[in-house]
Amino acid sequence: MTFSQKAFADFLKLNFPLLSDFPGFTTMQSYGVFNAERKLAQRSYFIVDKNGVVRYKKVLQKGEPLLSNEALLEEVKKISQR
Amino acid sequence: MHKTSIVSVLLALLLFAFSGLAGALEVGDKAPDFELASTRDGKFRLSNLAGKKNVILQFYVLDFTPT
Repeated sequence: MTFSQKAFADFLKLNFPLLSDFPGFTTMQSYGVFNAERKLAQRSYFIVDKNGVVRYKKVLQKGEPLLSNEALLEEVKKISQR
Repeated sequence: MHKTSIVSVLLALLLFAFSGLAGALEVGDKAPDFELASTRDGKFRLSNLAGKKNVILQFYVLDFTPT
């Protein structure tokens, strides 16, 4: 089931893991980003700090562009300071 | 149908309808823990990084698409 996901990660030479929330969809649901109609995730970002607290959340609306890595890392920097 | 059974069915329907809206995850909430199959090292459990690292979770839609 995650064969294509591993192939995708290898293809992109990612230095972070891809996770599969299929077939239960439970993680998407607990984070409130499950599109039940299409059985897919809503594109979204969460930053969780070392205490396990959500410190940043962004759910992209239709047509909204992805965040750049720089923007994401900037958000991590911000939450690390507080 | 008996009056009290109509009321209890209505109540159950209302609770069901609103359960999806209540308690959406927001900044400041505890991040729900999870354990999922990972492309690296078999499984990933979020709470394993507690005390060690900040974590960026990016929910994407489909493999082999521009996410």
